[in-house]
Amino acid sequence: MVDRALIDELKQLVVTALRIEDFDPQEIKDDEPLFGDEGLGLDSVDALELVVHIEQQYGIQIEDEEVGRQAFASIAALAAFITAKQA
Amino acid sequence: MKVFETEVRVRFNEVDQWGIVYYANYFNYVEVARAALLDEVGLLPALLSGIGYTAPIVKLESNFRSSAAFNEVLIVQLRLIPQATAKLVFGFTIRSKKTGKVVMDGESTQVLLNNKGFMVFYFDGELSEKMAALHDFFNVDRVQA
Repeated sequence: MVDRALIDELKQLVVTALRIEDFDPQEIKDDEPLFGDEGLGLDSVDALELVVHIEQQYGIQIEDEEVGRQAFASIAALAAFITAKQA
Repeated sequence: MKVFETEVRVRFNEVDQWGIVYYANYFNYVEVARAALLDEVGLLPALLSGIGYTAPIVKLESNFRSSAAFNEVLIVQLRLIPQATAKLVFGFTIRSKKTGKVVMDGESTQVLLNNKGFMVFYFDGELSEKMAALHDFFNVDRVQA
């Protein structure tokens, strides 16, 4: 089940954490890749900022880039990852 | 905050046709300081790879403010700039020993990769102890975001 509120919250978190405030969070598609050449195009150093914000807000840790590949595949994937970790 | 300091003397083969240090060579001086620092805190690359990590530089910023000539003695200073995330940021300043004038300053950013080549998002276990030793040396705390 898609948690709409969590997905919207995460889009806002990405914009805030990476200080790209001029970017409209709603322009991020639920299933577009956050990293790499496609999609949002974030780099791996951006991930460091994201994990700190995610830990603060949701109390979960994403240990490394290997785990991050799955968690940061898209906003929808991140929402699913957080929901699973919190369960 | 403590500053780590070392001295280097400009060698003949480090200057360019204009008789001043070729710009890229200043980074070698920063490396001389970094190696001396890491030796002092027990974090030389071999030790880091021995516990399963490497620390590549992912970003380098520098300002070239004046020039240095052959045989000039330079003071290279390193500072550790506290971070809220799992990266190491060193600030560096190279000065002329004689005049005190800044020759170059800047910052380098390193991340930690585990032995599978993946970036770590947290400093855990033995890595955490090593990083704590480095922060203690500079008398700085890791920043909480």
